[in-house]
Amino acid sequence: MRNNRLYAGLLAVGLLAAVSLAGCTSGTQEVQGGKEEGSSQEETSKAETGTSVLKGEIEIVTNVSEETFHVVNEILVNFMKENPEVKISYTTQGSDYEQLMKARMASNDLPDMFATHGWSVARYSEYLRPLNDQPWYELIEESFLRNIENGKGEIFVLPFNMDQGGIIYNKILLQELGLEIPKNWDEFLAACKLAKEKGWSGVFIAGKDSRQPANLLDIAATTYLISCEDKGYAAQLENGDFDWNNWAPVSQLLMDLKKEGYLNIDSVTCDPVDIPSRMADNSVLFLVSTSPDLIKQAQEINPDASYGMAPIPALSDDYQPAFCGGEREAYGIWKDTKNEELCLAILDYMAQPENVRSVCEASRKRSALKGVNPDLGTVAEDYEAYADVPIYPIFDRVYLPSGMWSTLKTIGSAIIGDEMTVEESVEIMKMDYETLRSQN
Amino acid sequence: MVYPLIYGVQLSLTNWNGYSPTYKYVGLANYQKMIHDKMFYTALKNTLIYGFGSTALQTILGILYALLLQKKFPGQTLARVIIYLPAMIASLIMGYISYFLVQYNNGAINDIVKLLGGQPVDWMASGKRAVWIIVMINVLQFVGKTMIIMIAGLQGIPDSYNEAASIDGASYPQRLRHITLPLLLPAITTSVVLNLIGGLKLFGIILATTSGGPGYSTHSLSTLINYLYFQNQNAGYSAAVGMFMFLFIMVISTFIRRVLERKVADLS
Amino acid sequence: MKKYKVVSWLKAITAFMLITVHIAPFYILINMSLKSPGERTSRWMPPAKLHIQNYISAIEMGNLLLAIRNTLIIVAASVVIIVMVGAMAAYPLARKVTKKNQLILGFIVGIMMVPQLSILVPLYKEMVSLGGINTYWGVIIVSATFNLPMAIYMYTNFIGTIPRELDEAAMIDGCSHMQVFFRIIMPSLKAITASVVIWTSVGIWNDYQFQLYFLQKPSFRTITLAITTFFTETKTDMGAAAAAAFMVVLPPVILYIMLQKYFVKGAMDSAVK
Repeated sequence: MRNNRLYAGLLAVGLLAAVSLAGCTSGTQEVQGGKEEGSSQEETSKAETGTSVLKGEIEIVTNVSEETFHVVNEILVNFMKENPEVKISYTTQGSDYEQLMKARMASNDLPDMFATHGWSVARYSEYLRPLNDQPWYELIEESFLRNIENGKGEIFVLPFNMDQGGIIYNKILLQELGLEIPKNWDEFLAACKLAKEKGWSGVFIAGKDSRQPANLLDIAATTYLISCEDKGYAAQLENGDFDWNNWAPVSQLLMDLKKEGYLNIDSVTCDPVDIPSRMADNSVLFLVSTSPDLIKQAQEINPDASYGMAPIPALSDDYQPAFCGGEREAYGIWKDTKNEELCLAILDYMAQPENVRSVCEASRKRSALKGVNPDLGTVAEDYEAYADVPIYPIFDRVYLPSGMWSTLKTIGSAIIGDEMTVEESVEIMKMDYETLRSQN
Repeated sequence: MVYPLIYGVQLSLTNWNGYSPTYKYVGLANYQKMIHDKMFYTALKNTLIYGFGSTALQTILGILYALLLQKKFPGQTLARVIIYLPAMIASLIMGYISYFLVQYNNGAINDIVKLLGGQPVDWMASGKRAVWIIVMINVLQFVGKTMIIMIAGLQGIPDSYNEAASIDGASYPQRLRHITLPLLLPAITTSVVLNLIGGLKLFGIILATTSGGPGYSTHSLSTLINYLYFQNQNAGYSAAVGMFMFLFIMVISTFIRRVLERKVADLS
Repeated sequence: MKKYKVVSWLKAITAFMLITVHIAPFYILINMSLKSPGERTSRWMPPAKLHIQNYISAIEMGNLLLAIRNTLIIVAASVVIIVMVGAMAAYPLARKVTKKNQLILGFIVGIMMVPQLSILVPLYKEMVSLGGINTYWGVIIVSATFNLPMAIYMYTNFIGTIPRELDEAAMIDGCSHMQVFFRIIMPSLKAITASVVIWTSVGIWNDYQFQLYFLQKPSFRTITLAITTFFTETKTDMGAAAAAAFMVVLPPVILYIMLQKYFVKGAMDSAVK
């Protein structure tokens, strides 16, 4: 009897002891995943020949998959070929990337370099080394700079490409309705009305993922609040004296779309997995999105599905449509890395035009650096047609305090779920704005 | 295990956002917020439904299934295997499968409805209905587990008892009530407690089927904690809810356990 | 006497209906795994053309074979620990019913109730300092510890149903506690051990949270992580994910079928005689 109880007890005590001891000393040691397995797979490959000046082992992590990942991997493989003493472990964590990164930030155990997918300033900047002193800094498009700068003008990443958000429209359906691309929201809603009469969905939202309605609010806010520069809302938001009643029209837009039935019937429960196949059905007129990649996906399913990208409708005839855009694939260096020189060299290598170009072509997004001319397929015509349209930074990343993206998600999904009124949403925006502002 | 708990308590007293190297202590503010939060109460209510609803259904069905499949008959082994099968599917995948069952457009259930001449319904659009659908999916997936615990329990009842009773003229329902069920009590206890804890902690299926929506009407405490930590960047509040959930489950399961174990003790 | 009575056939029919319901998820899974991404036919209809490509993608892109190997190692090691330690710990708890033991049991059950997420971050921190990230033993210890309470709980309850007289009889014959444990108790627990093995191995096989955080290197990738590689930010390859999910569900099923017969064998024939 004693035997067994002692055994169990010892085990429990042992575990607890190990756990508490470790707890006391946590944070003083760091272990980079030391055990290397000699397996060669598609994601990482190592090449060894000759000798060179640069050496070391580092870890790079990102959240993209497939094409973009393969392209960046190629770039790194080439780097390793030129620098055989260097071992790079490049992995992707897909959609769990953000969670994983948060846990790693909390334990102060970050990869040497990592992708910031749009959040270099808002979330990761405290852990990144400023990079204004790098040779490629001059190459960054000026109009893009403000998307990756913090309040002090510091940048923290090498940006490859940029997100561009606007409306995606169905070329065929629009033609059938005999309409031009809507230039302001009134025209937009009118188009939706005609679409509804024909039994189509005016705007498609896969609301099961609350990022979808939030995206709509975020993108619409660009023209409701920012591109109408004479109203000065941008400055007000940055100073803190924005009158939140001016947010109401944005919420109202979403509310109207839902109430008038311009959204797809299952807007609340549909999962984003289904977006390409529904687009391929040719029953969707518009999407409000930052993913032009959907156009290609829809076409793969149904070659007759033809969509294009257009700027966000303006507030009214007095204003012009605009795009919103921001950082997408971008890499920064952990400020506590032990391999700073190597990381900087890698960034430098990545910044070479051919490399940036291949990333842009793989992701079908515009380049954030000058002098790169990627071939972007069908979307290229759209980009070209709108080359002069101003691009404003993505609303919540610059004009809202960090953390309000989730507020947008909450009110977005509540509005389409008929659980919130416009006034309530304004209240919540105001409340969170003030709370989060005081936190930072 | 103890240290992380303490850390959790400590965390619940801060306003940490989950990744920043800095945070402030805010005392009991998170708990106060919890008391006034509509989202929290909905999650709490749902958690109770998920827990007790699933457990009740699973226990009843589990016992019935076990009784059915206890003695030999054609297809017994096959049935046992297949009924347990859904439990082997990872929650994430199960969630997606159930999404494909209930989705409005091209969903499997709606297809059957259309076949029978009805109108397709957006099943998950109503929060209340969605909660019960999730309960049923949970039951479908895990009733097999209850079943095998019950079968193991039934094995422990010597046939002689039942034979003696039927010789004495007891009918099947009588034998069930007075012999089988009481002797099955340890098995029932085990499975009820496990099911309850599993149901109260329900997470994967909800996430994959509704992500807590529409709005927040299908959140359980588990998914709420996940949401608060990762999506809402409110790690402090998330930890507060986590503490509550831990205590809550502890209280409920201890209580149920005491009740059931007293009954078991009464028997022996 | 007929081999199968009418009641048996009724049972068979009922069982058949139940089987249909329970197999629906699998049917849909298999269906999806054989359809090409663009196909939008009803979930119930089999695909017009078998799109085997999904399976090929699953194996190649998800590196499934490696993932299965990794998961097997982890599950096997964890389950062995859980069964051995669980049963041994449950034995004294079940036999000696003292206040202290009740408390210990309560505490152990309490551990079961901690939501995985709440302790994730501190656990991760500790593992980092212990050097347990990206190792087998790190994940094994965590998985085993997390499932141990359930095993202990189940064993405690079931050992309780084995009459003490058996123990006493054996001890009179000169057996020590350990011998009683291995010769008498364990064999009687075959049925419940089978349950524990099945339940914990499936749980760890399908576990997501721990494996996600503790095994970030591709060489350690387990099956759940391999499946998630099909769900990316921009695109979801449902067909390949379904194919992977299906292939991955087979080993536990085989295990279950193998262990199934332990539920049938009598528990106590040897002991009483």
